[in-house]
Amino acid sequence: MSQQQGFLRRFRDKTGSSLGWIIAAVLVLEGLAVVERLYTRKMMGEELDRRAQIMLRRGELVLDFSLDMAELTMAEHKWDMESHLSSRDSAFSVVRRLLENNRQVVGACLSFVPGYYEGKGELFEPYGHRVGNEIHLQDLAETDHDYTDNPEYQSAVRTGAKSWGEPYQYGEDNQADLVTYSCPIRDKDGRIAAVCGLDLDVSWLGDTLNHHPFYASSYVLVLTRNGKPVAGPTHRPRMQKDEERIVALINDSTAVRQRKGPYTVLPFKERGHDRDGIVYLLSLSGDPYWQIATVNYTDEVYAPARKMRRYNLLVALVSLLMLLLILYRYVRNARRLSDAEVREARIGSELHVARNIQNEMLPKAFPAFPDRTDVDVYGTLEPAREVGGDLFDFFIRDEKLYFCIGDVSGKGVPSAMVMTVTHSLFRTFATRMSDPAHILNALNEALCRDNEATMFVTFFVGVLDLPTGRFRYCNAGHDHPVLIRDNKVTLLDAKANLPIGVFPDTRFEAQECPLPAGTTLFLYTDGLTEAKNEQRELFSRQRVLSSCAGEKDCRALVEKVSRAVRDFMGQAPQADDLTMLSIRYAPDSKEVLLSESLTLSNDVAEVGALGDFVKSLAARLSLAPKPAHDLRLAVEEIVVNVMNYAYPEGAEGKVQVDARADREVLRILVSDEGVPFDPTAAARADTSLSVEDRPIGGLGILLARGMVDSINYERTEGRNVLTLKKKLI
Amino acid sequence: MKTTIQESEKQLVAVLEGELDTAAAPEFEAAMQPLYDCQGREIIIDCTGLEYIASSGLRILLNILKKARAAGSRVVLRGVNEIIRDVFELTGFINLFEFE
Repeated sequence: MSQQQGFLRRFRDKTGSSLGWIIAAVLVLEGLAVVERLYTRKMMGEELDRRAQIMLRRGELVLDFSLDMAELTMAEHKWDMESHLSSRDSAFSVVRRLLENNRQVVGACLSFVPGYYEGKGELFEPYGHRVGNEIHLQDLAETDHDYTDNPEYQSAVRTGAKSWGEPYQYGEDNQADLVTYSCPIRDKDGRIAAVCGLDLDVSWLGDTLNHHPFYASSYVLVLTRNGKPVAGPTHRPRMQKDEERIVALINDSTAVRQRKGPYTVLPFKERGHDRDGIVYLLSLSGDPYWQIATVNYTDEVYAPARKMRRYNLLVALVSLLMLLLILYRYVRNARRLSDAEVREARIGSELHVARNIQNEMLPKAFPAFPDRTDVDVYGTLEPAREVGGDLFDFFIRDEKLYFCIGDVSGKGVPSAMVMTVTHSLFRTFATRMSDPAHILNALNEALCRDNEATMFVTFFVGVLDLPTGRFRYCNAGHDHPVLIRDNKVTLLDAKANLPIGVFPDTRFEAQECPLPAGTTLFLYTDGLTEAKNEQRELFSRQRVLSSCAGEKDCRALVEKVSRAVRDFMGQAPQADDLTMLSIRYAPDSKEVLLSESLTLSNDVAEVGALGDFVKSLAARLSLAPKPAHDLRLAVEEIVVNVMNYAYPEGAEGKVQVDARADREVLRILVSDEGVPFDPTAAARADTSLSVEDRPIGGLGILLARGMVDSINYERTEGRNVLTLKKKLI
Repeated sequence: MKTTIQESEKQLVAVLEGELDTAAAPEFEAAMQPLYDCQGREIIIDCTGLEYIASSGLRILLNILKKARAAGSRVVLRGVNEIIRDVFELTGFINLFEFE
């Protein structure tokens, strides 16, 4: 549950910023769409302009052509008509010829001024019109048609100019739209004899001009200069009302209009239809000054833009979905990655902690024993990885230097853990045991007990008795230490033995040799001998030995060998931990102030003599009462202890007391030939117990420890040797 | 080493003089025998003249203390010098005995 919540929270965290990105992307997309739409609309508007102009120009051409043809026919036949004015009867044949010449002319008439032919009646109007392919001729005056009321006639007679009349409906059901072109005909004297009228059929104009409109419901209208409709899409009855509205709009002088070159543009909104539109208007430049209008509806004009918008929306939606998908994948991957990072960081910090723990356990303060002149130790450990499998350690307890060096099989965290365990076990055992073989046996048993990973450790334990120089050691499969003495470099004779951690029943036995003053011991792990150079050659023991030569100082020795191996390796990577430990043993030979001995039998009654002996020593060394008392008490307690325990009950034996002093230290050695017995190994008495719980024993050794600077036990040459050290300065 | 015991109705006073080393301990233990039978009387051990004491002597004093406590008696050490006081301190006996 909490994991799920964690995931959600992380998802929110991750998506929080990403959502911002998505919104930004959507805004950008929308912005682009808006710009595109505006641009498209602009282009559509321009396209409309162009199309409207084409429509109007086409209409203009058609109109001009038709009207010009009528005018041309009139011009051609004017001479014919004028030359036949003399004969009244020839007027009919003139009319016939007019009709035959131009098929668009559906009717023609000659309206003679009243009384032109004297004696032949007032009015005379010969008229011809087409009925199918036939031409019918008649005198309209005979049908009582008074043409003198006709405004076109009157105008032609009055002004003597040619003109186009107003269009009118004609025929059954008014199905034909006609327009009359009137021209005065003059006789030889220049008087107006008659007015010739040509009836032009313009019914076809609407169809022709509205053939193939650019937009589905746009159409073309033709109006007279007075705004009377001449032609339009009459075959569309539904359009009739629209047409009327548009005609009214064009004739409305208050309507918003805009000049665009020779065109006039009128935007409109059809009430109740919610259809916006634009009217383009063009006036003919000559008589009859008709107007051509094209009507376009905005929704159709911008229909492609809307279509495009829909496509754009679809594309945007798809893009958005893809973006979301990408985001989802990104977040998922980021989560996986961050999980991996967290894990790595945790391991990293744990490794760091492990390394710190490891480093904490290694002796780091050098010089190791600044207040000692008889021994110096220096060691380094350079791990190959973050944590290493090597260890070294040393400390002085009861005037003995305990030291060890070890190498756990393998590398990395597991070996480092084994190493840490081994290290702490060594500390534990070496503070209780003084025999290196015992320490190794205990370590081996402990490591074998729960060693499921079967990691073994090569280990070397050394115990150097500092007062005597007695060196005891035990090796468990580790590299042989190097001995450096008097410019001679040799290997310490150490049995190889098995490493610890292999078999629980392995029994280690200690070896020993005296370590003469001025000897330096050099210990290392196989990281040194097996260091490889770029040619993959090993550094080898031989090079270890040769680089050790001529160096006595601990630190200088380690640094010299370290330099040698670094130079050898060059750029080659360090494959294993590099661990070195060197120990220099150089007890000073000082001026002896005092050297006395006393031999006692193992009888506490002899203690009186011992008291006198110690008192005389204190007197010779001019000790103050307090240190004199302390020395006497310590020696007495140790000697009594030996008397009581070194020899079997009832057996007689000797206890020897040797005192040696220089200016700095008084050493009293209590030795016997009894059974091996180390009183310093006994547990410390608990001084905090109550009267009832307080045991009677354990007081002597407690007192002795408190009264001198150190007590050291050593079994050497079949003797127990206890060394009490009391500083004199 | 010289040990004198003065008995009265209320008190048992042991006066110690000299050096109480391990050799002198058996004799001292014998001399102190009356203190084991204190019967609730207060025990005063006068250490004014005591110059030296080893762990064997301390053990005898601890035994006396244990017996006395069992019999409901106090044990008071009187006149302990600085050096010997350090010995009591080191062994933790300073917390067991009463000093005056």
